[in-house]
Amino acid sequence: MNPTSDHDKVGRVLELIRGSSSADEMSRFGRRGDWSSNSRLGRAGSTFLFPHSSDYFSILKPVFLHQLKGVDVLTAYSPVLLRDGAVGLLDLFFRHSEPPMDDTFIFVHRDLAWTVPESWKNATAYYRVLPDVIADRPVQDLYLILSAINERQCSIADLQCRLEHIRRKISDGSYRVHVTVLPAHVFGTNPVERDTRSGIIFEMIRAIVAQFGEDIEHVSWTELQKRNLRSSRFVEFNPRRFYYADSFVSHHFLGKGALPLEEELVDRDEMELPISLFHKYALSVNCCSFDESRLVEVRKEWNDYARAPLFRREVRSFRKKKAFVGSRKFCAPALEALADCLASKIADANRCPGSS
Amino acid sequence: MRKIALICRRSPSEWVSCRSITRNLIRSYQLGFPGAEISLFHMEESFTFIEFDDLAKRIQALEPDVIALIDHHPHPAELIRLLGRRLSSWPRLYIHVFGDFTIMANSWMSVEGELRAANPVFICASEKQQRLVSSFLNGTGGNVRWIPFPVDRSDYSFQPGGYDRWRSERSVPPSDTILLYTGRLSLQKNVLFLMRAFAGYLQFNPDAQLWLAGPIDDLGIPYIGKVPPQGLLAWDMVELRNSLLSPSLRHRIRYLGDQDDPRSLAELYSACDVFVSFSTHNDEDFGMSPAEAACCGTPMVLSGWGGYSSFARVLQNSVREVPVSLVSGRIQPDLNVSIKAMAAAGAELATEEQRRANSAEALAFCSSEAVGQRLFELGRETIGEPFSGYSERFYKLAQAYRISPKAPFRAADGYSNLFRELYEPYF
Repeated sequence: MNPTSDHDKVGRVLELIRGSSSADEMSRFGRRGDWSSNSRLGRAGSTFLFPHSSDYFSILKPVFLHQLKGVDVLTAYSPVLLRDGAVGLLDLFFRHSEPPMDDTFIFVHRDLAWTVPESWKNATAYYRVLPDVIADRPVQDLYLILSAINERQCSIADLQCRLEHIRRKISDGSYRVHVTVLPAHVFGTNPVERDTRSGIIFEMIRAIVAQFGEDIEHVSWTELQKRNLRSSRFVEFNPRRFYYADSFVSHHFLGKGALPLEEELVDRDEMELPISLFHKYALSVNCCSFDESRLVEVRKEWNDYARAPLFRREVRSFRKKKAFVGSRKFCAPALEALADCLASKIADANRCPGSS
Repeated sequence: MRKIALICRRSPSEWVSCRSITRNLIRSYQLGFPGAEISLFHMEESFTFIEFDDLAKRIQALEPDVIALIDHHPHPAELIRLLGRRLSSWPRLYIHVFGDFTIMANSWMSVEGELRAANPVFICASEKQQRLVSSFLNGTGGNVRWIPFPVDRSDYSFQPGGYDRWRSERSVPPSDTILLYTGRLSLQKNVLFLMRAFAGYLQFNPDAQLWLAGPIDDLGIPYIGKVPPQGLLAWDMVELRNSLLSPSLRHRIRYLGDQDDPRSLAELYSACDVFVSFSTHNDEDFGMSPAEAACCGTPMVLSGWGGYSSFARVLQNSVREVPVSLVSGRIQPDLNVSIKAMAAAGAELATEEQRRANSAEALAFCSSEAVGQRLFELGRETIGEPFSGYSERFYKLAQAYRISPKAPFRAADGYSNLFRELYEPYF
């Protein structure tokens, strides 16, 4: 496939956004039963990632792949914004080495651009979610949102490093620190996962107390939804974007006027699309924010595995009805392991600020 | 009245307005009955049967002259049943009626027998709510009263010099007319309609601004099962603003985010020229936002829906009312009438003295002191008419919720005939 020029791609994206915002299209997508499978995998996936997986409205039709009836939905409802993390995207690109049809167009989180194979590049643009509000009042509260899934989400060492960085950053302020721990659901009687999960929660709390002392407040997700977050900053720990990339929790904070602790600005080549009065997407047609040599290494490793017969058989033999049984999640354990390996290599290049 | 038992929740309500209502009702009882022993009893959603029974026992031990239910959640049905068993005779029972009275119809039905023995006084928050609730009871409604929800004057009252001071702090040009809406921004609060009306008004007054302050929610219209996806209203507001106003004018609609701090809200009420709300929220029983704005002396333009009408009737000098009707499945005012009301209010900006007078009038109506006085007077009245059960209307209401709890009033073209029949008092 010939690469599309950036200019043409921008034109295509704008046209797709215009089409997506029509009342007909929004109404069509609103008939959820037409594209959402409501399958066991879909429900389990949403439960596993709750509340990150909670739905929100956008004309870019944000979905998780596990919600869809099939890959045809990506074409039928194009453009579609994929909220999946690395593991979901790599599973998609493994099973569909090319876009199913010419009309297919997806938005992928910019931090996961490394997962997109060459064959999909013409059909992919990238998004970030940014605040669209000025910090016009003193910030008093800092919310730390941790997801206790497993170390693929965020290793304890990485968490400790990031917490230290946060503490140093806010040391001259007078923030009240609030912590919300979101444990993902453990399916079935899975003692290994349960024990691991409780261990992770323990280590997370210990790391937080080590940095911020005991004068911190625990806030449940239910309570968080009732709070006025206007004068707040937040950190949602998801550095690797492994299981999910686009979190409802972040939208909740940003939609209420909270600001991320580390603010990012819109790049010159990004287009802005409002989500609410307080936050927006920054969309780009190209993304080259990765260490080139690392990217080449990761892509080579992916291609090698993707072509290897044993690996292919292992991944293709995964049955959706086995999802969330034992240690399996969205896809074959082999693919998840490979995704973890590749994500680690990319993460190494974007490691915690301040770490050696 | 020597002993008064006030029943409420300890944990704060999910509804911001209900938190201040309950708090202010406690204050009103304290002010209205200064010599009485007022005891607070708490009940929670999580209470077990044993905990409810213990609560009933403690209330019984107090031997109160009045038991007043001053919160909207949890429903007191279990407590009423247990009190009915424990009390040889009921003292006065005041049930302060909140907006979700109709939603909890089946819970109220479940204690109809106990209430016949208890002979409660239903204290509604507005005239129209009084008419609504009276229509749900057998008899002539003699045991239904209306007393507005109280506002704490220490939070909301006229602030001399506040208008100039707060506008100067916010760099508002002196020539600009500020229209303010506070409270939840939702479909039924008609925020999108308000924006359209403002865009129309802006054509008459290019120096106008519309300030919107409050949390956005996607409650939709649950009565007809219309529950939009999360975030849709926020998007609609962005799109509507961008379609109504050119880029150079978009700053004239300002979203200030969630403002639940009374001091910030009082400053906004003082700084604005007109408070506007075209809410037709199901069960808009009173309107704490208009009440607070009125107590700060702010002139108002309000829809004539539900509880809002009481403001127009009592505060005739400072409230313009816009009638509503049910058209094409939506309860809304007329757009042109709304624009004209905004224009009329914007043309007659209140002086400092007028604001002071408006505030005094509003505080005489719904301050904690005023409400306390009305509660005291109620206590001296003889409530002649006993509670003789619910009317057929209420049975129909309860049935509608049993059949379709998520959309009790849904019909093909929006609202059902039952809704029109039941809510006729609110129009």
